[in-house]
Amino acid sequence: MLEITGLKKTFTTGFINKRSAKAVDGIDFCINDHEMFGLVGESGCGKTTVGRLILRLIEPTDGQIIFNGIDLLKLDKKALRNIRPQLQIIFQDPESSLHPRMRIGDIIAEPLKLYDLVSKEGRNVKVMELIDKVGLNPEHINRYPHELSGGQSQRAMLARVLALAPRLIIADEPTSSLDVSVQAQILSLLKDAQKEYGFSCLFISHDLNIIRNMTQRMGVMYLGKLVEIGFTADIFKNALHPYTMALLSAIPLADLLAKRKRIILKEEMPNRMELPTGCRFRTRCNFKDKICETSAPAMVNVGNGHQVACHFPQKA
Amino acid sequence: MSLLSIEHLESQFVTEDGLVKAVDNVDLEIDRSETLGLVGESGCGKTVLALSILKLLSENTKINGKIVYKGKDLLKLNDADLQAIRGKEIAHIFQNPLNSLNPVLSVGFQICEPFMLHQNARKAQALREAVKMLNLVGIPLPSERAKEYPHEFSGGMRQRVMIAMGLACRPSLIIADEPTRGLDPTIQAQVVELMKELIETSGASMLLITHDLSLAAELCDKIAVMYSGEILEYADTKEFFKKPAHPYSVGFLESLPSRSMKPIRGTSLSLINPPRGCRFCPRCDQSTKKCKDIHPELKKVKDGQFARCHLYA
Amino acid sequence: MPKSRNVNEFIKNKASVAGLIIILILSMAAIFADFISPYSTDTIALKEKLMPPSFEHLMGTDQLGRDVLSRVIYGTRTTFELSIMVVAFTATFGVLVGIISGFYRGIIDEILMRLIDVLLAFPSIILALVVVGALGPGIFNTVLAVSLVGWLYYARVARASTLSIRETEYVEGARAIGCTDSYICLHYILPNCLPPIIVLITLNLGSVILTIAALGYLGMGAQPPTPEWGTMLNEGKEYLRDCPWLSVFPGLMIMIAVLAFNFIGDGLRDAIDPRQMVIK
Repeated sequence: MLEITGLKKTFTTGFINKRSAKAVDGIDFCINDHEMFGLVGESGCGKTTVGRLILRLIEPTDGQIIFNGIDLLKLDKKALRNIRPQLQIIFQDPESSLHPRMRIGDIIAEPLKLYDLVSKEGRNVKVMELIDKVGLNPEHINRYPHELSGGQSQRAMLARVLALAPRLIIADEPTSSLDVSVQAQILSLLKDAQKEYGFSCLFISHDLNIIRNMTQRMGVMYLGKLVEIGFTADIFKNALHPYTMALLSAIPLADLLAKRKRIILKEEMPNRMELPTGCRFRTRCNFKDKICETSAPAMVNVGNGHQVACHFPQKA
Repeated sequence: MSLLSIEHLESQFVTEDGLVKAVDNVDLEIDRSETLGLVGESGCGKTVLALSILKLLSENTKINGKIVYKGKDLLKLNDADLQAIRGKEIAHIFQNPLNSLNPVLSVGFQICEPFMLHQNARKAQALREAVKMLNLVGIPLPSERAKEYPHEFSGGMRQRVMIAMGLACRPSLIIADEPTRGLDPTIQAQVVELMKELIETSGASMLLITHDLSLAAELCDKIAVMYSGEILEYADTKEFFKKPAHPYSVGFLESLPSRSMKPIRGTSLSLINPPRGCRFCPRCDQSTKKCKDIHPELKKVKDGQFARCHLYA
Repeated sequence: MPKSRNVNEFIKNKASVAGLIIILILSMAAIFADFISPYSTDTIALKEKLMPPSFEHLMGTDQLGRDVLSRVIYGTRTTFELSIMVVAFTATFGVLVGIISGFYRGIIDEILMRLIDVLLAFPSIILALVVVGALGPGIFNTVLAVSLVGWLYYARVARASTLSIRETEYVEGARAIGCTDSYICLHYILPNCLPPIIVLITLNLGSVILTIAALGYLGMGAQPPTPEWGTMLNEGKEYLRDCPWLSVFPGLMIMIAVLAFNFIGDGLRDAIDPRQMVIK
């Protein structure tokens, strides 16, 4: 349903001293119908940029984005506008993603108004329907975003996005700004909505536990590249890339008292403008060797859709 | 042997909507070389409690009760005496290092400050100590990085700087407020290992404020669960995670992504005019009529575990 | 819009409320001048010229025997009409330019910003004088002259607001649902630009009144017999020693009006200040 090939985005700064940072440096993956695909990585890996590139909120520098057979990058402004209802996004910070001077009811109705999908009365009915679906009360319709809590704002955001019945929703860290007690509520709501509306979802997060709970397949990003892709259950059981293993060892376990051996990575992430040669993870890797300095590993399929880009993939 | 003893603490704010009882009659104890985790969702009052200890709250707050540190009631100390304790005996590591570090002073200077203030050290000597601290918290090339400014450090590094500032004068009690919030998982892992090491070697006590139960599990000897300004459960860490007593604790654990992510229904109430009975009652699946009318007291469930719930009355 | 909190903040500021009341009174005077003015402004009664303030003529009479109070009241109307016209033109044009410049950036932005920098380097009153000198005095030309430079400030403020608003997630969200650029500018950028613009308008009204009065005083603005405070100051300057009331009252009105607008502007600026965040 969504096929990404060779997607790249390079940001340049400065007129005279041009410096560039490769936020996304050639990634390939695909998302199937009705599937939740998790995109994991730490800050600076480019996952947020990927979400925006797919929607062309930022223009890619290179690559292909095929959505249901249509190459999104070849569409002109008008055609892109027509296809936008099918591709939607939920942002991380609910406080800044809703228009501060619009009432919730109007915010949710706006997409309907824009595309003239229903009459005015029909709009009101639809808004009430959506409010109910996301667990808000009718009185919230007349409130302003700053009068709602974080969790309520995120519900409103979801209602607005669902108004257009999209085929693909990008959820960009939708619960990272929310308090832990509210996270579970919002995520369970998202899961239910997916079952009912049947959309696919690119779920971007740095929290692996949430990814395990929510997604069927996932990809791990590091400094602009995908290092491992596969079924979520497979990766959790048998992670192959050293970075994935370190990430997994850092997450809280269900048995909080269990003693565990954490894999502590060396150093910090390299500066995006001065990437290491060869494999970009080598500066922090505990398994590196000579070849990692000279050649960047290619993505290799090891079976059952599990792919890894490493010269020395680890077996459990 | 009790190092810090909080008795009947009440911290209240006067706001235009009414009197907010952020901390409502809390009793806590921390022994020497012990780590207590204060756990709860945002808005439950845990940060206010922490700030009350060193009287770091704003002017429109009223604090009642007793906070006894090494035999002295901190709430009754005059400013000069309290100043001598802040940073030297009791260190507070704030949330959000980006906002807590002064952007126009070098990191080295900021770590020097506690040395110059409390140990009357001269600048050169204080700087040497600061570099030692940076090294202790694992910052590479400490003597060069000491000259740099906060914005030149990454999130994880800034957190280490905050820890360095806190530990500078070898305090007996460290109050750490959400030390790993906002950090990437691999960086969190580094910081947690660091904190473990430092606590062990220095023998200090720690009050850890967090919403992250896994962090509390790793670092703390005892856990206190706070909700709506009250302590709902107080237990040894082992007992708590083996079998939490209070329904809120149970629900909180289950709602974690590492468990089943089952949400607790409803939302927490405002801290103005709390209800008469149990504050968790509206969201509790095991509530009875008694819970609505009568406010439960903290009662012993078993050795090393106390809960504020009528189930254990 | 966080209206109630803003209104409360504004009300707490006594100076601003005083300013608001004064402006309301002056506006009423301007609107109902025909009813409250004791005399007509152009009745010439040379027998009663240059009389000091008395019970019949609360502010005295001028050199042509006209009642000063009546002229001051009608002068309010003139001044307000002129200033509102100027501010309406400059604000609309300036905000439009600022939003377009800030939203599209690129070469348009560069050119417009350099143009604004150049124009701002001119002392505005001299530029206004040059225009009026070239086109001749009179109300329309006064408005034109003062407007020529006035729009620049609005453009700058609007552009600054636009730059930060266009980066917000709610604007991104609007683009994601397929809103056109003009829709976003109109419904997203403009409403969020308004708070600083409103503050600028109130402060600007004060300085526009001053500029118009200055032009009037220099004989370049509203021409006699049109009552305008600045023009009245000009007419009264010959009699300053013996008949100070001809100048004092119009001068006082200018000061009161400008001060009132400044107080309102200050109060608005503080009330709208986004620092009034709720602590969660």
